[in-house]
Amino acid sequence: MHPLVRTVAEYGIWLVFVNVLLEQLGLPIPAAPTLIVAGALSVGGSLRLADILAVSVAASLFADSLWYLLGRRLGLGVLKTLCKVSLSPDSCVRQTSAAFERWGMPSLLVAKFIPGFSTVAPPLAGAISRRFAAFLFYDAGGAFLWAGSAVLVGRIFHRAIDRGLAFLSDIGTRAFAVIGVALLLFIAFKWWQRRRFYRALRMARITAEDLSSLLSGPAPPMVLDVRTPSALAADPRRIPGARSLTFEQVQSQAVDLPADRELILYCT
Amino acid sequence: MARALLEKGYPLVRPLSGGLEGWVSAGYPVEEMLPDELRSA
Repeated sequence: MHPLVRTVAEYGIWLVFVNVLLEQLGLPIPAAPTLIVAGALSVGGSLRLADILAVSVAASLFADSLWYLLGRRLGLGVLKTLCKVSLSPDSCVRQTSAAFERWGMPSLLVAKFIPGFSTVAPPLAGAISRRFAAFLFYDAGGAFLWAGSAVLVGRIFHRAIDRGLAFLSDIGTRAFAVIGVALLLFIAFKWWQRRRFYRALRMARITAEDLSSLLSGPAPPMVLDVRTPSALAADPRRIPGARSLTFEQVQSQAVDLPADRELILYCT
Repeated sequence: MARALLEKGYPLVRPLSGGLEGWVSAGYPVEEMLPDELRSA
C-alpha cells in the first residue's frame, strides 16, 4: 500500500480536514491528492463520502471566512500583499479584481479550480464589502464542487490509485527536477523581460516626493488613477486632480490623453 | 497598464511607487471622489 493511502486510511477524516484547511489558508500543501485517495477509500467503506465532503466544505469555509474578514478589515491592501508573490503584482491585482467584477459572487463557484484566484477571491469579496451571507453561500458551493470533483476522481479510479501513486513516486524525483528547472527558467525569463522593459522605456517608478514636486512645478504631469471600479468603491480617495482610467478604456481606443505630457499611473 | 499606454503611443509613462497607499503614507493630501464620478468610473 502506498504511504499516502496508508496515512489517509490511518488518520481518516481529520487528515482531510487539516489538509484542506492548510491549503485554503494559503500553505503550499495541495489537498487534491488526499481528497482523491479519500474518495478511493470511500468506495470500500473505509471513509464515508458524506463525511469527506462535509469536512472539506467546513475547512474551506473556515479558512475562506478568515480571508474574507481580513479583506473586510484591511481592504485591498490584503490583495496587494497576496499579489506580491506574483511576477506582475500590478497585473495580478487588476486582473483578479476585473475577473471578480465581471462574474461577481458566482465566480466563487469556480475560484478553487483556478490557481491564484482561489487565494485572492475571498479577501477580495471582503475588501469590496460583498454580503457575508452571499459569500458563505457561493463559497460553500465552490468548496463542494472542488472537493466533490477530486473525490469523484478517486471513486472512479479507485482500483488504480495505488498503481498511480507508485508510478508518480517512481518518476517523482526526475519529474520534480525537470519541473523545478523549467519554473526557474520561466521566472528568470519573466524577471529579465520586466527589467529590460523598465530600462528600455525609462520606467523607473516615481516616488511620492518626486511626484509632489512635479505637481507644483511649471509642467505638472497628468496623474491617472488606474484602479478598477470596485477598488475605487472600496476606497474613493484619490490624488487631487487625478483622472480615472480603466484598462478597458485604454484597450477600446476611447482614450484621449496628451502625448507630450508625462503620465503618472497609480493603483491601490 | 503602463505597457498598454506605451503601446498606444504615449511615451512618457511612469507608475507611482507604492501606489495611493504610498502617497497617503508619505503625508500628501487626497480628495474624495464624488458619487457621480464613482458611477461613471
